[in-house]
Amino acid sequence: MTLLGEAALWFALPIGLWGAVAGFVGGRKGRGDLVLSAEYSVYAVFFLLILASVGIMNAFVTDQFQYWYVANYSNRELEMFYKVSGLWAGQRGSLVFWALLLSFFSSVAVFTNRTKNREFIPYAVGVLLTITSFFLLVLLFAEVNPFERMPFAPADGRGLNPQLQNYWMTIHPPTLYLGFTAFTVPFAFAISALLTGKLDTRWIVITRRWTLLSWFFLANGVIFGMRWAYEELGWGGFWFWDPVENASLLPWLTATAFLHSIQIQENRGMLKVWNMGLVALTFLLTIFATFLTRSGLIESVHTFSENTRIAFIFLTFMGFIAAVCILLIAWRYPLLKSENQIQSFLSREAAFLFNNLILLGAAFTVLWGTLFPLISEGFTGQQMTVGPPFFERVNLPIGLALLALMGIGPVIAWRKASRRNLIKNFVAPVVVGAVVVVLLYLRGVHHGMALVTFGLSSFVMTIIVVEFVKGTKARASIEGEGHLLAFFHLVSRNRRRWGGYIVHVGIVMIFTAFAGAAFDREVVQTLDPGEAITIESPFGHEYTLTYQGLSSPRGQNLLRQAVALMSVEKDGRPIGFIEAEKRLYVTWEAPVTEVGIRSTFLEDLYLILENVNDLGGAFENDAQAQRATFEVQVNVLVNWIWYGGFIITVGSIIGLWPSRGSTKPAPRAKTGGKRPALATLG
Amino acid sequence: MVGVTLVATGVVLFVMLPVLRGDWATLERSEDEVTEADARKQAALRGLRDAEYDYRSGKIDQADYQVLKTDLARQALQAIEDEISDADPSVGGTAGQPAVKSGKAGKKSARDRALLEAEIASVRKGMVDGRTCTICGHLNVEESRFCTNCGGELDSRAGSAPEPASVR
Repeated sequence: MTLLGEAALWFALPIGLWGAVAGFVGGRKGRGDLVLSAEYSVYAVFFLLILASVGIMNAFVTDQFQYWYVANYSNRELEMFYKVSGLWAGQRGSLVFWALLLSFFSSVAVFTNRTKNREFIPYAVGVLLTITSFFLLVLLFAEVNPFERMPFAPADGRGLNPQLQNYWMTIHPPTLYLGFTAFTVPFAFAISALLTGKLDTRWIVITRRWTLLSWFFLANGVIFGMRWAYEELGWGGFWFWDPVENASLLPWLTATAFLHSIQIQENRGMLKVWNMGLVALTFLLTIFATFLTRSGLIESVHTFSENTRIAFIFLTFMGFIAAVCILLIAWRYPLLKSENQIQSFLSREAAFLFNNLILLGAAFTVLWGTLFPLISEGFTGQQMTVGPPFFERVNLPIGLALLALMGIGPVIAWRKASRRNLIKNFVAPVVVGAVVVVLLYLRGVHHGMALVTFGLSSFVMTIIVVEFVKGTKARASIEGEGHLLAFFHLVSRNRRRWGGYIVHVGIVMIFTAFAGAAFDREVVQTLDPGEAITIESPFGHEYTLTYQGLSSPRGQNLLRQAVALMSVEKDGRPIGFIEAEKRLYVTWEAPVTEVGIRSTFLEDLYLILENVNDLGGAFENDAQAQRATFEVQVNVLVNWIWYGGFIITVGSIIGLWPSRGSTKPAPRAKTGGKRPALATLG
Repeated sequence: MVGVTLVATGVVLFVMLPVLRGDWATLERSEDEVTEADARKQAALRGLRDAEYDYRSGKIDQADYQVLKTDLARQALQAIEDEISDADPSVGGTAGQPAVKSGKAGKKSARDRALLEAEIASVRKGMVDGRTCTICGHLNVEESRFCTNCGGELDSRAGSAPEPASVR
């Protein structure tokens, strides 16, 4: 099976290259047979990459340590779950996984467009297969082949980094990769629109669900990453501003901008060049994110890579793509002129434009902060780090401006809003925001930025609720429907708009959670069994954690494990137990910390076993080796990030759901028959 | 080894089949797809719907609403006429005036054309009917002269929303 997988990987390259050439030549010459062959190549490459992926998984599951990749990312005792996910645990497998997902989405795009949008298909297929072929070329010729054999087969593997042995870590990378690869489809159609000169809004209409799908996966990928960091890195935070985290955030920021700006093009025929630029930039950033994670150029907590050579191959490829995009946009510039102009700054299109500028500003600062250490090292030879203080200082005002725009945008009408109406519509939400700020201040919340965030969040939430109420009323009045039915029809007839508002609710919750972090508490204390730590919650109650002692069970793939048990009381009332651990993995030298978390709606009680005075003794179940240092945290509103993520998912699904009107008539014959008299592309 | 050979042969045959057999993929837009004019029409109709919601929920003034609605309705009409011209170049028509069918057989079926005509009529009707009260937003029965909700006089020339069914 593994041999077949290896052969399939080699075989996928010529098929991919053939398909790419057939797509472009078929499109240029109007050769329908070549285009059909290119479309079949997309399916064939997908099939071959499934074989390659199954081959890698098989090598993991059957402990074939003669393969360098398996030997370095697995060991005999590794749980089956993590063996299967070994496919994306390291650089080599991840690149195969990336190509697999891209070929999957390419196949879906080709299949769903087999009877429509045919003018765009040849070049779109050409672009999709060119990018897949690039990844295959890297895999096969840049010394990152996952099927590379070693001269001998070690008895056991080095094992998987313990920090990757976490449930969230197995779903976080695939989700991000789904987001990265799904965005290739809008990019491919955009390039096709440029090449064919069909630059009206159709390419945007064709791909807007793909854009939203990609955005949805990127958003969830970033949130799953936060969850992993929160559970696994053992310091109580969820965002490091680590290069790889930043790299995953960048395409999300520009994709968010793109999702908003395409609405201006659809509704007003404006920003055509801007949208082309954004789709190209977002695609480049998805490649950049992949490359940063898997190239080894920048060291971070999760650049699990071993080969810096491919960094330069990726950079060259990105440069090539950027040059092609710039040349194509310049060539087609006369066709990309705006049909309208912004009539007033008090208009929704102006608000969207501000939103775009702010999101791009955020993307630029994050990119600069991420690359600065590298650039600085290149010029001065000195290593410099740009830490969280820089990112937080710069992004806090940007985030607050975005939050405010989330409230302002929906209330402003397209084209031109009158000042009087604007004031009338803003009075109630502003009052609600101000009342929330005053009430919180009176309750002892004196953190300035947090108060501003809570106030703005209340303002935005009020606007969204009022939008739903007014929309339902208007619908009920126009159509003469009951309010419940009117609400249902309101959302279902314009899923993108109302699904978007629901996504905004999720984003507001996440912003609120960020502000909640300003009130986190922590206590560090060294204890013997029977002693207790007391920590006060900002909500007024008090937790008492009494140390019960250490025990040393032995789990799968673990050499030793020291589990500290604490009983928890809330205001003197017992509410249960919480555990934190130190683990020593079979194949990993340094002990790893596992935190304990007790979650409620408003806060988390978070326990870290910082240090065990005699860890060796504790691992041996020595009754005298019980003294340990603990850090207890109360993390305020942190769960709202995950709740917000869930709401974003609901809103995105509403936006993605096909509306009744969007279904096309019954498909016709797959092919246009035998060679036609005329079949050319412009 | 046998498996590898089988897979390789199968894949090559599958990919090369269209070239060997001379099967041609369609490379042209099919008639039932969204055209550029259709996309413009949809955007204008969507704009009309949003404008009505915005007006009724108090985001825009009556005066702005009137200007916006007239502009959007004109765009919708232009797009619909362009769509007819695209489908059948022998059919003419300028903005604001319904196109006249030439009687020659075009690419569109008669049914499609009838639907488009109905759409034009519906947008025009919304512009001039005056069924929606500009004071309270109430939707009145056709040919009403006064609003049954607030008693206000209904402007018979320009004071209404387009036919709701047409902008859904």
